[in-house]
Amino acid sequence: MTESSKKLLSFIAKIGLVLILTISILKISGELIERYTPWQKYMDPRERLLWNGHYNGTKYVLFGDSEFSSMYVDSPDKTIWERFKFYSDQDIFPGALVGSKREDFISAAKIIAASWPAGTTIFINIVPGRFFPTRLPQPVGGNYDYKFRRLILTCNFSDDPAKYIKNIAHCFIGKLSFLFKYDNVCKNLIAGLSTPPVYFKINERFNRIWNCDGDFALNSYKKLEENALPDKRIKSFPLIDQLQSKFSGKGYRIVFVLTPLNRDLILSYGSEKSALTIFNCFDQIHQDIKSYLASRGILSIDLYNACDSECFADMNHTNEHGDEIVAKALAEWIMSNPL
Amino acid sequence: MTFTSFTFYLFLPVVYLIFYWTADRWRWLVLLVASYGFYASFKAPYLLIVLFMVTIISYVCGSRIGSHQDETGRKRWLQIGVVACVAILAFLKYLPFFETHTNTLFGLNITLSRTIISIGVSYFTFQAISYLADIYLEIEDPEKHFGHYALYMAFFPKLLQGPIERAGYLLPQLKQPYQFDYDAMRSGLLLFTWGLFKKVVVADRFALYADQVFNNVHSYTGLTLIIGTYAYAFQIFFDFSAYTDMARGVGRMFGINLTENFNSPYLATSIADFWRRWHISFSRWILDYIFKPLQLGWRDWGQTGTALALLVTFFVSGIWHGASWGFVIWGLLHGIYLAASTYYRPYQKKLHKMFGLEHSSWLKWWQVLVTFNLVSLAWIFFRAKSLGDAWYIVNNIAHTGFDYKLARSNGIAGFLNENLFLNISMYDFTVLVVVLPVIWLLNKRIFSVFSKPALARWLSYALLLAVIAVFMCQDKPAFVYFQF
Amino acid sequence: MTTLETLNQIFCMVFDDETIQIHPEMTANDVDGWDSLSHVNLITTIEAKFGMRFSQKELLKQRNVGNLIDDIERKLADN
Repeated sequence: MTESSKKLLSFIAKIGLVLILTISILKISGELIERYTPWQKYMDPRERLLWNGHYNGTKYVLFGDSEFSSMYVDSPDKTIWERFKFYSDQDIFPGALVGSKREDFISAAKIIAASWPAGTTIFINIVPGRFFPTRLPQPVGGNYDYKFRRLILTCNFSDDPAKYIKNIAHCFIGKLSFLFKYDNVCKNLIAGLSTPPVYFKINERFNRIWNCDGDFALNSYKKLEENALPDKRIKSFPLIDQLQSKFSGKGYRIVFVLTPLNRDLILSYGSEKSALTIFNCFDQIHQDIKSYLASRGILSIDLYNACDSECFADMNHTNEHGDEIVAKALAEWIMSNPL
Repeated sequence: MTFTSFTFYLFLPVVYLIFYWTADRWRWLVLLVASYGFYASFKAPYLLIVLFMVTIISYVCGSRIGSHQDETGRKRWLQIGVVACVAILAFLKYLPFFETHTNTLFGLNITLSRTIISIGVSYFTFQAISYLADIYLEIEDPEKHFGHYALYMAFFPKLLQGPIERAGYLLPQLKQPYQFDYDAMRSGLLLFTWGLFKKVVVADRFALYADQVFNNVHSYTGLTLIIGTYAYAFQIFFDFSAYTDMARGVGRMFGINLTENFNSPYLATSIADFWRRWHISFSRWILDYIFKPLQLGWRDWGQTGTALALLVTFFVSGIWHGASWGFVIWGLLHGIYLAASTYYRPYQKKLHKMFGLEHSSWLKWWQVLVTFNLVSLAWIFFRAKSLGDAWYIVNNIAHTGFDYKLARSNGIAGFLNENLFLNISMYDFTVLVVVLPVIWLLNKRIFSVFSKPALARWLSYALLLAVIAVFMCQDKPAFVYFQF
Repeated sequence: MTTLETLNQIFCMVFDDETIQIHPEMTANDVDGWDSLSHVNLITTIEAKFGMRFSQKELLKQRNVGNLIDDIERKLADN
């Protein structure tokens, strides 16, 4: 071997050494930060599944999308999970993610299934609009792919090889150091030292009633109305099946919660001819889901008509008043349906 | 593929290893192929054609100039070469400009230029012109080896954003046999990493502030506009000097020294001084090939001749950057600054002498402050999305009229957050505040780490890499000087 | 007086510095204040003093005082 080849090899070896040192620094500082700083205080409680999805001893899990995330409340103690605790004296894990899509549901299910033991009761919410037929295009991938990919494998190799390989690389990065595992840990921690992040009562997300402030609820309803295809109602609900299969064999008690619909809004904002059609479509879908669940022997709680007008921030989402009702209903259910 | 793309970190080691194991006489070919491959990664085949065309044209014209003894012959081939290069550059850069105007004029809807990019073309065409001019002035001989010449044009570290290299400086280096130099390898890699650090941790963060203001000018007034402007001044400096460090670092690994492009430009004491410190390879180019000929040609007009030459030179500098009025005004502003100074400089010098201020450090810092602000003022026109926006900023920069009603409703903290921190996380602010003094202290002496003991060295490298990995800014704007 | 001596006088006048001693290898970097502005003054003064006119090309090719002297002497010889 020539002199310069030896030098080149030693150079490459030293690069390797520096890389190992770098990884060690990252790993160690990650560990120190994870153990000795109050980083959890600064994370978004509505994304708890993403930064602390490990079994924490509770027997109950809230699972699903924005309706179970208490978007329209003003403080942490008005959330569904805190109100549930108040009514039932039991802890419930807030595992729902705002804006969850089908893929996010599946990924979230993988995380729950990874550590929760048998006997856990999982409440999965289905908002009335989830299966409503519209002509809006269904985008590919989940909203939380970029966060899930550091934790678990979100797709199969056969579906999307490139994405799968990137996913593996990301999981590797996530395992490399705590600093890379969860989104924004460092950022929230450092920013939090001077200005603690505020997760409640910001932007549009505060305790509001749908018909009391401008066009907030009107606009989203109009979008639904413009794109509705009430004749194209579907009879099967693949999401329900997929969740069933993800949770099967784990010994969980799965309960689907059909969350409330704001009937007054549709009647008030809907145009003459469409309001009634849309109304009936919702009702029909609701019946279909109920029979679907019943036919498969799946437990469900019907809150479809549980709330009146002042409980809603828009068509699908409850505010503090509505969340109170939902929490109470769940608490009552577990008390009358012990394991 | 840019220096911050993932693929570049696969490209570089592969190219280096192939380069290393190739026989010395074919190494130029490896680099040439790699350079064209690098350029090809932009998926714009016409760029490769343009590069090749400019290379061929300047090679041929250069050898024609050299082979003629008579002045007319030499001049003719110089003119042919220069006009061809300029035409190609103008066509690519100003196509969108002409297209919009032709469309409005003839009611058409051509959208050809929307997809055209011209990364790197401004740089290598200017390089070709300097080659031709140097041959004409008998400073250089025409390069006989086409491969070497092609590599001189296409060398990938400097292909996209310069530095613009003179033939006399780069060609001899390309011809040198390559010796593996351990020190060059590690200093090159360190320089590259340091540049990467400045780009992804600092420049991209300043961009957050600058973008927030410049993309929404009418929402802000007074102090906030100043903050946005200063943020841009720092963004563009760190961005471009980071790129140059990365380019020089990579070049070093292949045994090539590229020219320095920056020398603490914001410590300049005058605009003239600024241009000796900012984008040095470009300002030397316009000095040698536009300003000097003009100034000497107009020397009979005394100071006016010089002032005029400066205006024209910096007008060209403006349009080289792009086909928009913003760039032209930016260039003209600098031209005006310099032209004005040719008139008042002698008086200014006498004034300083009279008060005995010549060597005062107070004066020096005052000059630095004034120069920085003049430069920042010009940057407003450079960055603003439209002339209207730029004009709005200049008009409102002295206002202190905040929306007091809004301020009262959000409280002091909310007010500060909106107008001082631009709703950008304190995290980003904290990172900048911590990192900037470190860069200030270390920027000129990063190589002093080589004299430290081994463990300290390796820990320093590892720490630098760790900081890059953890603190790189997540929103990633592209390199600023790409668009030119 | 030799060309060098005359030229030296011109330098001292243009740069307002009696201590300047020019030599053939000297460049703009060696003289305090010899920038593009004073360079053009230098050239116009030389042209006036020696009664000659440099061409654009000659001026752009000059790298140091030695080049300048060569050009001046060549032009003087031509006349």
